[in-house]
Amino acid sequence: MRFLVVLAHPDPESFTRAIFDHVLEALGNAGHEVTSIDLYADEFETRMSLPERLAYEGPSPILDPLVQHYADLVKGCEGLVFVYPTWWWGMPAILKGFLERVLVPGVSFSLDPVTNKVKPGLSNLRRLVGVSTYGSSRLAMKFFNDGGRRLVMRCVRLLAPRIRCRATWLPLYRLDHSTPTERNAFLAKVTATMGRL
Amino acid sequence: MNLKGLFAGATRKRPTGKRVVVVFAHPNRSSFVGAMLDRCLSSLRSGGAEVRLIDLYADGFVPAMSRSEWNRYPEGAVTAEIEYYVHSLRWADALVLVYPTWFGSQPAILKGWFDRVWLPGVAFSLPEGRGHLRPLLRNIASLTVVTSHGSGKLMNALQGEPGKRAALRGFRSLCNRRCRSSWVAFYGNDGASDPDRHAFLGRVTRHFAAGGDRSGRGPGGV
Repeated sequence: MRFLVVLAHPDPESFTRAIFDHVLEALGNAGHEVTSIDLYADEFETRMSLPERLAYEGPSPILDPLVQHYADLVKGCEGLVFVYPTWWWGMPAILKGFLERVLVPGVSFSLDPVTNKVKPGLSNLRRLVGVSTYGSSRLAMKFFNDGGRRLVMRCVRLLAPRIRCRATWLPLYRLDHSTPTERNAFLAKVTATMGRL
Repeated sequence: MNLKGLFAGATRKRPTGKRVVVVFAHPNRSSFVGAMLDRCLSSLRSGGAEVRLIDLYADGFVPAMSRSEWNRYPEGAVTAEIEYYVHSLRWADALVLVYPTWFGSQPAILKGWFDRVWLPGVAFSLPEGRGHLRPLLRNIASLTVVTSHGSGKLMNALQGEPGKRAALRGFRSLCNRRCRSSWVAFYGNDGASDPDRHAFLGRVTRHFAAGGDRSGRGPGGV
């Protein structure tokens, strides 16, 4: 299967980066074809610009060559993996910007001109995975709601019409209080889960 | 005394005021969301509120937290770039967010504003030995969100309203304990007619003219 792995963390020495490396390695070892995107390394522009906003509902909403490249990768993959730290009950701004600017009409969905309903467009997706770290506990995330998880597991998933698109969520809660053993156990879990996809 | 009476007494003790910070997150000031902002500002000002507008796109705000900011995050260092925003947050009695809901939640530029500005020492502290945050924006007694959704209520319910929950549960929890929150939202903009949109703009005006909530605390009282 062709996998696309998207990383959103500013620090190349972070634990999130270690997770990302494990994901790439496990998918490669399992024989998948893997492409990756490091949003910070690519200096991806987070904000949707005014010209992009004006073009959004038109026939060609993509104006930036990097966004076009990302959109081609998204359309060409069968498995999509997001790796990011959860900040303020959601994804880092740069990853939210990726969803807004890359998953535009014509790439991830289309709007029915008559009913104005969203028609899913990610028919290529068969696996959707989110891996995230949290400062908070699982209970706190339940109370405040995990916005990032909802964006991946619901908003993106709703754009993949196939019943066979399977979604998986891998969270590590209370990262600040975790021991090296717990973190290594989590990396092992990530490796095992990715190997089975 | 009945329960309703008890709660009414409690709300009267909250700090009340008229210093309002309005945060706007749309690249196009002449859009529908821009019109929502104009209604909001004029209604607040005619009610006598002191309004400070933060227009993130006009400011050229960079939303992605940098590596050095990330490494210094626990210190909560306030750089010159975000100083004005921090000052505004501490100055405000009320916070109003005006934005389009894109992909289920706040636009990335607004998410980045929370990531970079709502720092430890600004929005919260994390006392040793306690597992949860202590709110520091206790001066903010009112939080209002004015937003428009392209899709309808059903689609948003399926998506789980991540933006609504982040604002009304999440960010509200860093404000005053009795902070009053309101959700003024337009759904189904993709299929809406101009009269629908116009009616919503009227609702925005009325919302702020009535004091920002249904209790009708008085003009501009947000």
